Amino acid sequence: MVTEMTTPILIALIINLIYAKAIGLTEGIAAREVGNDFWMATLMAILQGAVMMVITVLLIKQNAKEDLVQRAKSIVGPILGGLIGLLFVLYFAGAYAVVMITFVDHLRDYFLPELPTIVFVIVASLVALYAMQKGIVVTGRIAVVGVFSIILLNILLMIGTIEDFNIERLFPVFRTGIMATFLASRHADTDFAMASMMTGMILPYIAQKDKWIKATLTGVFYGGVLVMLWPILECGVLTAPETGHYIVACMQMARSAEIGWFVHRYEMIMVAFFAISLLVQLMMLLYCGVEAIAHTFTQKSSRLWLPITALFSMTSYLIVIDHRRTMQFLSVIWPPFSLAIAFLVIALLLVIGYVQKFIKQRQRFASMKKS
Amino acid sequence: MDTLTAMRYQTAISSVLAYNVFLIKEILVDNSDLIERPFTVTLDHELDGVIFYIDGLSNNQLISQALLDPLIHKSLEQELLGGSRQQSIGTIEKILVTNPEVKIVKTVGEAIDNLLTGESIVVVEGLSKAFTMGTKGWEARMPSEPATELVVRGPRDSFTENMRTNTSLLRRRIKDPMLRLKTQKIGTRTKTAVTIAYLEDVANQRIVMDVQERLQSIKIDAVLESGYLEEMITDARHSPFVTMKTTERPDAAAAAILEGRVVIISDNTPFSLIVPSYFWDGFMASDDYYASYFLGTFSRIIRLIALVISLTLPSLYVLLVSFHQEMIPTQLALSMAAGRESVPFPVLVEVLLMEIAFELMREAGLRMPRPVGQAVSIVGSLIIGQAAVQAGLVSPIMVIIIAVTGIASFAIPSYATSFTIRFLRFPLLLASGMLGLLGFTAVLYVLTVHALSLQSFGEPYVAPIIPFRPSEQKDSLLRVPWWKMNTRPTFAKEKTRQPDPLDEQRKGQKSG
Amino acid sequence: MKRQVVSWLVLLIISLVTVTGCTDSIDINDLALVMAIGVDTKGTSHQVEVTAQIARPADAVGQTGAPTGGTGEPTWTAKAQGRSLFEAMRNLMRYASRRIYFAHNKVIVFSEAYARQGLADAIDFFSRNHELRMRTWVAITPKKASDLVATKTGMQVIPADSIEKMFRYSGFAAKAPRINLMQLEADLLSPTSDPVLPKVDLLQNGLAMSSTDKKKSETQVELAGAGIFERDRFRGWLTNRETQGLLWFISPPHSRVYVFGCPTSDQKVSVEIKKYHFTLMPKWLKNRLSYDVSLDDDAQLVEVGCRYSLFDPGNKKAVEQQVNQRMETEIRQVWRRMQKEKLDFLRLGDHLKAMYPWRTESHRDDFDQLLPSIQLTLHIHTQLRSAALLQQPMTPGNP
Repeated sequence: MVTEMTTPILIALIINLIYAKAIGLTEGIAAREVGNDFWMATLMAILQGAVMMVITVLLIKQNAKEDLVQRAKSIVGPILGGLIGLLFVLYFAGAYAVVMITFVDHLRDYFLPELPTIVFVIVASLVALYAMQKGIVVTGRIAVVGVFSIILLNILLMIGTIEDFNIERLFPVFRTGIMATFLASRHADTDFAMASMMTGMILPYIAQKDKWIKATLTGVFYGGVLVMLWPILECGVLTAPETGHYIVACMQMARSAEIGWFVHRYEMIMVAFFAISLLVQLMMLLYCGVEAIAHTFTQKSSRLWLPITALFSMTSYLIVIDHRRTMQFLSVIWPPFSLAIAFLVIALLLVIGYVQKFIKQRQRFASMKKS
Repeated sequence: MDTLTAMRYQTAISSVLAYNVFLIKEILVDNSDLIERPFTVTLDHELDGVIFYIDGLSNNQLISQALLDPLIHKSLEQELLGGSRQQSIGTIEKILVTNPEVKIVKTVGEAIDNLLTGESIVVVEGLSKAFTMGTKGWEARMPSEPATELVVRGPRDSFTENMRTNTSLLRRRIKDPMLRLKTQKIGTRTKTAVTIAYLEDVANQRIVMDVQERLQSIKIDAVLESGYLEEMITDARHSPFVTMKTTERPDAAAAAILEGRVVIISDNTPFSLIVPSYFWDGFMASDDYYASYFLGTFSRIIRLIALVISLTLPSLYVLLVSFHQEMIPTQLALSMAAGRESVPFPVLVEVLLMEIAFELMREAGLRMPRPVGQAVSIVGSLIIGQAAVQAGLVSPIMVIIIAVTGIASFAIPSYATSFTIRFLRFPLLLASGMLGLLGFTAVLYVLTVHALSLQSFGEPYVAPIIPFRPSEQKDSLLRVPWWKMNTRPTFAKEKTRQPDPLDEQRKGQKSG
Repeated sequence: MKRQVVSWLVLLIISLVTVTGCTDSIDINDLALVMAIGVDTKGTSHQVEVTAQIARPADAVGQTGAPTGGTGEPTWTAKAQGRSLFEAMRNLMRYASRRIYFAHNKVIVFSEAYARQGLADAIDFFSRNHELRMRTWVAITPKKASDLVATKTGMQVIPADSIEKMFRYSGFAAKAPRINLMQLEADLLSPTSDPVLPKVDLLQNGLAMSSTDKKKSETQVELAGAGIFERDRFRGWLTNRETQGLLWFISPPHSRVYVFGCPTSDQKVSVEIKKYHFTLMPKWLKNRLSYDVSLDDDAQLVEVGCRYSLFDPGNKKAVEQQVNQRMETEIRQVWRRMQKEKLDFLRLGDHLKAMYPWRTESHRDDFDQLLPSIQLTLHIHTQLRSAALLQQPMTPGNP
């Protein structure tokens, strides 16, 4: 079953993981921080995302049979590795919460304002649990559907807003300075980090080892391109200050788009296309969380499905229940935490792994010389 | 079967005629259709024998022509050689063996098994074996126009209840030495003959083996219809989706065989099974291949629209009208509100009422004799179309929604697929009615995941769309013209049907 | 085992949702679909008065088999007061039998008195609420907004519909800009621009509904210019001319009509402008800001009352010049008004920002003070290209 994972599926998964939060919440936060330059920030994030992805792939490539947690364990020993494994679990819990925020904010605020938040969290988690139980190949396939719908959504949105698009609004760039823009790209980085962490957990299942780098970078690139349309349109149609005013900027876009006078509201079309991608994201993060904790404690993962789902939904519910807490989490806590793990910890592991390899080789040479 | 019978069943045919006759008659006791016909052949010695056959299953004429006549004629022609009794017995054996369809059986059980399939049994004094003669012949329906898969253009014959007829219909279409028709008996009591038909060099060996293994592992007492087999060997046991296409069209079965699929033909039913089959096969009709490829492709797109409509339209209506009214264009919103002004039920209840009424009508029309069925549909359409609206029970737009949904579900060629879709719209409807867009999305996602997790004999069920198989796109949503249809599905062993004529041309030009 | 747990959970959720009835559902016939909103002040106590035109579906749609209810009027107008906009809206619920629902609202009309106090909170309210469309038209009226909203007018069954369509096709009349909520919001949020809203007024010129009802001449809602704002507070009205000049800048008209006297008689010549190209180029020259406006247009003869042919080069020139002159007057007038008011309702700042991002940044807060010193260079170029179907005018006795 696992052998069926092919590189196109990996690419589709990466695109899905990047997309959903990046187009709305992230842009709003970035626009509040650097105004007009938020689209430049997203552009920068694609490069950084590619770097993160390469680091992760290189780390897994050191031993193609192990995922992130197992790598960590075999590099720094079971105890320290276990701690890092727990850190990864924490990361996936956080990422799950982030995606849940995206899901709930889209559906609750724009469609069902009176439905209790817990219902959203439970329904989404149950669906993700169901998909996880069917295995990641199935999710990989649905991710392909997700990519199709993402492309369709992008096209529809482009048609719906092109009339109001004003390229002048995109400029000037770097008004807040290159450094500030670069710093603001950390928000979009977190979205790419999600993709690279997920890749780190599932890469061992993908057979063609020599295609890894190419495939993942393709995923990041296409994901980035599909995301990029949004900040550009948001900036060119809504203007940066307006983007910043809304919590979910992409929905505001959809609210403003129309095709003719008949299709006058896009929100539903948008959510319908976009929910697939969101649910794929939820399921993958859940899966990664379960795998991470299973490998940390060397447990059978199927036993952990229910408790982990419950745990993840609980934490995300506690965050998503309050708008203020949500924004605090998204804009202040999450970026440094997420990047510290997805970039620093991984890079550190990579370096240690190389050094170990180097030393081992030296030893081998030495012993060969002796003999 | 009690132990005594079982014991008798396993007894070997003895050389004592009376004993054999006794055993057979004891096992098949109290059967009015068991005919016992003793005869005597006079060669050097007078030899007694008995012919058994089942009245109605065997052809009486054939028995007298092919069996009795030679015995008696031979006995007249035979010169009296003054040979021993043993020699006479040998002569009879020789005479009987010349018959074209003869088998020699050694036990009473075998003899009876054959007897029950319509063959005649000949037991002769002094021979410790019995002869079964191929005298099958019973009243059977002639191949007539198929009742379920109608086509505008295409052959009008269909499978019948007789398996031999069915296999002959296939043979007549595929005159290829590689066509294999393997038969086995399934069902401890019914001993139904089940044939798998495939092309040896085209079908994937893995799939053929898989089918055979699954069929062999079936433990069931009776197989009265291929539906029994379908449920016993399906991959998706707990699923509303059907992972095997059924057809009663020999041309559809032949086409499937030519694509490298395996067709399972069961005796006593005109419905054969095609494996592996995709979800989308339910949306393909034989017409697509016979009519122009524009028409074929167009019809498939229409059916895809029918799928979307019949699955989602009522749920979309419910979620729009009771949750997301902002999405409806204003004029339409006003019309909907006006129509619902006097309706006493919530939208969900209204839709459910109408859906159930519709399903009732469909069910009633299906089972009634044809003249009554028409009355049912007239009354039903009056009630639903006219009276319900005038009485203020349902809104006019609701009626349109239900009608369009119903029509759309009828536009799906495969009855099984159509039923699946109709069934699946109920969970979707309930979820949308309770949680609006959230419920709709969640259930749709779950359904998609479920469908994607299914397999049909090792092939992903939603292929060739997901996973996407470029080479199979020639015959999925599109139906490319026949000169382009030069590949088989990816699971086939031999993947090219015929070389691409354009390629040939190019090659010719190069060499020329 | 796991399967069981999952199915129990599912069952639990389903019963939670269905049994407790904690869903969000409300059927469409239990909603009061608001079609237009008018916002007034009430008295002097800063109370807000909201008037809502609500559709009565049964009567608005007509014969549907459902019994029509009561008055036979397609709409019902309700009014309520409150200390804030939202409170007033909620107070509507005190006597509306259905839930007030704004998603299908088409027009928001502010009264002048309310606009003088500032629109910021109203705009915040309307964009914060997820029900409202961002393409709702926004207008301002010198009369009471409640009168405007309550007026039954136009060809449409629902009066708000006719106002909506009036705006949609206002490009032909070119009497008022088209501003929707999205545009207004952008103007309000922009550091330099000042909002401008179309003016709607009541007009007593409609014909009576039927000949038996001769006494009552019908009231109509008309588009009648524009009102300008400083930040979110109303400042004043533009004249008709000024509005027409304004349109070139912010709400390009679909077509324009100019009427002149014939050169030879007292008859009239009408010219329609359909195709044009308007560009606005800011320039910094020696610390002095100037704008180049160029307007290239194609004119077409649509109505000629005298002997006049397009093929006479003199005639052609004369008409073209007159069109040029008219356009220039319009544009100069609105420009002067802008400089006088020191309000950037022509969105000059936004154009400048695109060209000179850094310099605009430094004038971010005092851009309005810069306005009077800005030079305007006009290049108008009209081409009379077509005389529609006729070669020669239809003048009496002219074979």
